[in-house]
Amino acid sequence: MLDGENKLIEMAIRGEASAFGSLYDYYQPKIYRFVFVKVSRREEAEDLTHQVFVNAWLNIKNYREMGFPLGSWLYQIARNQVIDYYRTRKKESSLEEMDSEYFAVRNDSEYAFDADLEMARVKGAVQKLKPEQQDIIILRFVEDLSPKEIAEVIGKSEGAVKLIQHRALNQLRKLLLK
Amino acid sequence: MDLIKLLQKLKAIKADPDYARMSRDQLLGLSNERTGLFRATWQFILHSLQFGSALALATILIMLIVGGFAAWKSVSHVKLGSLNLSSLQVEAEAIDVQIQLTNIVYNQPEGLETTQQTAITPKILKAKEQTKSMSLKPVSSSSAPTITIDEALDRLSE
Repeated sequence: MLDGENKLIEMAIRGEASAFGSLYDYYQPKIYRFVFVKVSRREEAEDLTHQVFVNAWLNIKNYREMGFPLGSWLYQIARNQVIDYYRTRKKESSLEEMDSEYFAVRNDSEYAFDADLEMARVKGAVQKLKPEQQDIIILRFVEDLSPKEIAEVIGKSEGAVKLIQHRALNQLRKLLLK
Repeated sequence: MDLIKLLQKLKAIKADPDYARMSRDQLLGLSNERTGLFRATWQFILHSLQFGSALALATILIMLIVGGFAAWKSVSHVKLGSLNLSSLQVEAEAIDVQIQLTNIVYNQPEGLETTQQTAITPKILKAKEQTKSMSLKPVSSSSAPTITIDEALDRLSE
């Protein structure tokens, strides 16, 4: 959590852009990373991340009613944004009569900008998990959120989060050993 | 293979600094637009309120003026009616007559002693009987002078 986050949130709610700018500086890398692992394409990740913060800024006045930490709220927005993104892409692909797996399995050329090939391999494996498993793996091991915080983000119990995490890790191990 | 360590390599993912700066600037620009829109809306509401309140005040003023005149007319009618001299004179004369009549009742001639007066107090009757018993000439109501209440009381006190 950012130092003086509550104060910054209050200021942002009052419409002070500089306060929201500070929150953006702190959370933008995390949200971008979360989105990028899930969508893989850099441009899409950038667009989606930007949209997450636009939505957050426009709805910051309603934030207090949610009762979550700001980070959890932003991850929730990001999750919804990614879901919408895939929903739209599926519609487009069906219109173009493209393979529905096109967006699930990435072309190697898309990882060209990744310096570390191993990282690209891990990312590819994560993307083959179910969306919920992806969320939990990224939030737990990349963003270092506690199971309790993850439960808040995905709207499940802590026990359910641990169970999904266990299954996801087993699945991921199998995928990486192939 | 340490799966957790592999996953933690994903922490190295970073956004392009140019993108981050542009996105931030756009957000701040959006906030300016948002503030500008908010201000414009607020100003519009304020202007509408000012115009509305001015209209309301003007209407109230007109109503007060018109109503004031109407009220003045009705009040002045009453005043003029009450200031009618002839009616005042009639009223005054009627009062005089009433006073005279009251005087008549209270200043009756002494000879017209009423039964009421004689029956006022048993003491007076007793005094009369005493005068009778003292062989005083009985007095007729027409010729003998009648005794007023005060005289009777004086006599009794003697």
